[in-house]
Amino acid sequence: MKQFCVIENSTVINIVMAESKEVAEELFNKQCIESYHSQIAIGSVLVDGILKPYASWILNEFNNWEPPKPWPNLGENPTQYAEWNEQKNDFDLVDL
Amino acid sequence: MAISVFPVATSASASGLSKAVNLTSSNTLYTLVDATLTAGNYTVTSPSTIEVEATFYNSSYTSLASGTTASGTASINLPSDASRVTFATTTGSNVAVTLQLTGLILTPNFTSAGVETLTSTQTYTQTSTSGYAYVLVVGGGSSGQSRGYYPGGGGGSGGLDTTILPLTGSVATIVGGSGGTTSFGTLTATGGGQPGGGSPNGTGGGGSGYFGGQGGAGSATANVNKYIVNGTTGSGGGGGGKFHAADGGAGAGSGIGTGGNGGSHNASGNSGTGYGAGGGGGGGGPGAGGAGTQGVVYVRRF
Repeated sequence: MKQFCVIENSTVINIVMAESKEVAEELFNKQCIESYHSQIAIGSVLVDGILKPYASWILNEFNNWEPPKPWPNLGENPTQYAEWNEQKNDFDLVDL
Repeated sequence: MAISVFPVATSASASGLSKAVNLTSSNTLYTLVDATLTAGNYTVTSPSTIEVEATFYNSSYTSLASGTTASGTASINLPSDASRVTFATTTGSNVAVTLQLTGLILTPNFTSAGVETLTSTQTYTQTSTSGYAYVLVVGGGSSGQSRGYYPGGGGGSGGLDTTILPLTGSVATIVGGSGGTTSFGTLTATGGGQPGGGSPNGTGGGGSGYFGGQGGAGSATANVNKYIVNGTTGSGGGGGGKFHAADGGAGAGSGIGTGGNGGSHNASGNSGTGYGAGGGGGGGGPGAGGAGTQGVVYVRRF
């Protein structure tokens, strides 16, 4: 069984298991791209044929996608977590 | 023996339908015609010193079950629906008799197909005797976070939902991959997120350990329908901090899936196992998040 990202307007709208790309595309009537990268989720984007968590993120030497800014220091026992905001090109801090 | 068909007084009690009849004369066969004699356990009562024989029949007068009161009571197990019952006594007059349904017969009604496990997107074409099935859908578990220098949180479990649905012979079935939404007809469970769990009933991933702390443990979901699958899935543990060799948190859940453990410092989180389980968060340093597992649909026809 293979895993496919279902694409609509260059955005991943679901990630599904299917026997083949043809089966997935026929069921959804949308472009489907096989992908297994752990950082690709619903809401990820297709940029120049490459799936990324966000358009601005870059792939590091460990094959992990990284934001263009370092993750914020939230201290020990944080009460918030950081969520990337592509429009602001910065992190939002969200209460846990 | 004379034969008589009589009207009866009917009442409903907490324990079931109750019918009261009066046998005016002895050595007379009285027939109660009633289409509501559901299969089940019946109790016949009479005065303690008078024996009353009761026999259930279907519409063509095939005997289905019978019994005679002893010390004023008889218990009769009616194996299938009846449409008439006869009473007779050899002694006494104006003998008061009650017939009460005291228990319904329930039989296992699942088909021999057992629990079907659907792991790929398809059109489900099976049907069943009743036309319905119990269904349990599980969204895909999210992968754990990869946050470079900082430890990542564990991935959330997929959502879980269950209900009884009609089998039309053509039910759209979507099985979510890691973090993806699973649906069977109108029943939907979303995939897990980072760090939140899928909806409904998903659980969030364990928190990251930050600099020096141990990652938080993942948490198991509720067991939403043990008659389909007696188990849970769960979220991944958070990654351990960069310093002090902090450990990652443990994943949770069993039976359907188990979240991956968070990675210790510099190590990647473990992938979840089974279905709908979150991956462990990556440990501080270059540790990457472990992969979440795909969703699933369980179908039990009846």
